[in-house]
Amino acid sequence: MIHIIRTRKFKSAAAVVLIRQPLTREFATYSPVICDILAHASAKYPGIRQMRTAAEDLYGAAMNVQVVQRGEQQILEFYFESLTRDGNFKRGMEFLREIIENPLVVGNGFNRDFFESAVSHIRNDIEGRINNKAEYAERRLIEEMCKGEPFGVSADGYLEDLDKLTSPGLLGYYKKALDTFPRDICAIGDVDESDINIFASPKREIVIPPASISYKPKQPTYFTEDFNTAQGKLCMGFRSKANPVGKDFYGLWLFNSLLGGGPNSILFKRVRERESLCYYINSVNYRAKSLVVIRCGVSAENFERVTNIVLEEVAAIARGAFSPLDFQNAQSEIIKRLRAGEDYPNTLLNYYVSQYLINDKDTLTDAIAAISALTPVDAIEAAAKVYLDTVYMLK
Amino acid sequence: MKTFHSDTLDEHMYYYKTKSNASVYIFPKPGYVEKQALVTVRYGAADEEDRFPMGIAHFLEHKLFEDDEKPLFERFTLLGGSVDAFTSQTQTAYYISCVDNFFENFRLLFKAVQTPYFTDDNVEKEKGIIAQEINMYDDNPGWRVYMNLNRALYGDNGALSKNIAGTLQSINDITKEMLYDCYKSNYTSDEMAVIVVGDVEPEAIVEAVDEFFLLPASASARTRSLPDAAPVVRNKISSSLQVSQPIFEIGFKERDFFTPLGLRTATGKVLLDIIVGDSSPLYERLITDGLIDGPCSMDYISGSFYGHSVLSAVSDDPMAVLSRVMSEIDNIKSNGIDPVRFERIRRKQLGSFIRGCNSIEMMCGAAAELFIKDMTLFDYVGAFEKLTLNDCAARLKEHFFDPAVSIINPL
Repeated sequence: MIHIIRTRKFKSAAAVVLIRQPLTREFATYSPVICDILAHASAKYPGIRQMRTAAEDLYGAAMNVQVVQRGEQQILEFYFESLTRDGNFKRGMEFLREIIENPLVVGNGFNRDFFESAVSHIRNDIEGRINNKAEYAERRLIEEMCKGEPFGVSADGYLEDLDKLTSPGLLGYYKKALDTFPRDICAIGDVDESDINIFASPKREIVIPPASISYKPKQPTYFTEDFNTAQGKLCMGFRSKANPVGKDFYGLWLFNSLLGGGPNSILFKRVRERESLCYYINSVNYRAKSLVVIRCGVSAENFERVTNIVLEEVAAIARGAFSPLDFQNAQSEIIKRLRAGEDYPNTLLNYYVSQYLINDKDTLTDAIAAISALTPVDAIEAAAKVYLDTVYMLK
Repeated sequence: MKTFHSDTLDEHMYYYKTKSNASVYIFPKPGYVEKQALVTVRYGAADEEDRFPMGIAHFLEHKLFEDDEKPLFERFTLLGGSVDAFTSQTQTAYYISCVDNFFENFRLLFKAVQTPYFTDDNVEKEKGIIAQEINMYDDNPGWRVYMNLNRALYGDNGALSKNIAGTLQSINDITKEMLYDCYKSNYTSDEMAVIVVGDVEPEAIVEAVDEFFLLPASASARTRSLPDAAPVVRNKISSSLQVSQPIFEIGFKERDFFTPLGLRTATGKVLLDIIVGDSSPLYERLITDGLIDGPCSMDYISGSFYGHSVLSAVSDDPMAVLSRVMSEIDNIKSNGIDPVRFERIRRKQLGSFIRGCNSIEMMCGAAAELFIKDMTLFDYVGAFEKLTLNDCAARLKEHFFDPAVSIINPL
């Protein structure tokens, strides 16, 4: 896909190039290491200084290479943003092409030094996940809840795989990626197609299946890990069978907003404002898998109490026991956020890319109309279909 | 009302001072759908009076949104707006963003900020919430390493060393009477600013501010903290937490408060980037030798009475990084700054700030922080525009010595 969101509203132009693959346990560790190698050197810029200097020469451009998980895909994402003036953006795209298509190769592998330091960086990254307890807890919930599903695989890679990697093995994998993995380019700003249509296309593209939605109501499973923290982290994973495209999805989004979307949400008002149990509690909707995850920082002695409140409130929503005002708040909060999205280039870029990846044709305007058309019945139906699958507690 | 224009940013700024001496800054953003408005008061954790328990500025921020009518959050949402607030060491700010009904939201923001409503009950209830916030920060290595650096630079009793949220003990002592007292003595118009960013008519904003803003000026000028130009109090503070690798910050304390803040900021940021930024020879060596994994964060942290350059990163051997940084500084001091690199990095810093002005949220927040420092967004950009190699060479000698380091080690 090549797509441009044309606008002169912003001072800069940005583009993202995606190289997409199915997320698998077997190859999960390859891309993070490749990404680190590519970010540090290429054939034309064979050292860190040359590469970073080239980026700096583009008047404060931002360049970022990272691995992201979207649904059950693992994506190498190359991002570039610069001021539009003086041809910076066009030169930036050529710079990005160098990084992607002409890595620094020695013999049949990547340069050995960069390979080795990348392996050590990824080891530190994986071990460093524990530094942010809230993110770590949520990641662990997903791992346990989606064990055996691609979604539960960590796109950051695995420690035990790092020693098995070889530089030629990685280069071979990357060549295969360039030849067969779907590649997409999306840009925003005052950009011509000729600026971005400069990347080679894969020879043939593999087909990536959509994320599977697993829905088998059961008794929840509980996990606890002890880290001796001042504040405990509670994560609760609910599953739904909502279709990630269409009215089902909008209904689940609204339910999520009603339950834990912001300071007007039912959980915030009850757990924080009424019962003073926490500083934050919110919920997030993993669209591609149709999951709703509650996240709360709370003393370990109150884990059970908050878990029970959450279950009570989900059941209450399913019974329709919420006020028209709660519903209206949830709805207007989403609409406000969608409308304000127009002012943020990265929000627009991300929105387009997410819609494309999930094969949804709705524009921002369509989404606003769809959310506006929902009624309390849609929230009730969404709530009635979720069940608590897994609870993860970090203390 | 005065009008200013920045060619570099391609933005207009309107400035207005109300009859009661509050400052109003307006940045029109034609074509934007969202509007943001912020009210800030020059009162943060560092300004707390001795008669109050630590954490009162932040406690006040939490409680000011309380009203005797229905919850304020809800009233903003019904008007299509959202509201939030934050407390730093030097300010407390309240802000709204909305797409529709700007003036109704704006009016409500002033009502929230100007109508304190504290009861024994609602004060008591807030203590549990803030206690959880304090615990959350206690577990956060980034926050701990930052606070410990402040203690190293300014001492355990330094103004920047106070916990913004207070301690579990101190917040327990806070009463509604104290909150009223604190509010009345500090929320005065001459110490406050209003910032509006979005597709708005400046005249209409000024008119609305004149109508909505009712707080009086303070009876007597507030005493402000004196600049702390003393040597660093401790050169090293270490502490431990559940982290995978040591996390550290290195700080260079400001000794020269005669240099204007804008110039101090621009030289601080550009010089750190020259020393250890990701295109520097030192950065390449640190990565190659496995001492760090990725870019260091760099900043010049400042206010009217404090300032320090800071760089932070993760490393198995922070002291080795420190010694490399110090020898690179000596090296640049004796060999001079490469003029080509200076110009490239000056433009990089400028370019990244210009890109930031795509975001009305960023502009609003930056304008508030700069108000506290008696600066504007345009002063800030101007400092980078005017910056010369000689400025940097001079500041390199005067500012980059006697470092303090804060380290969070794994347990």
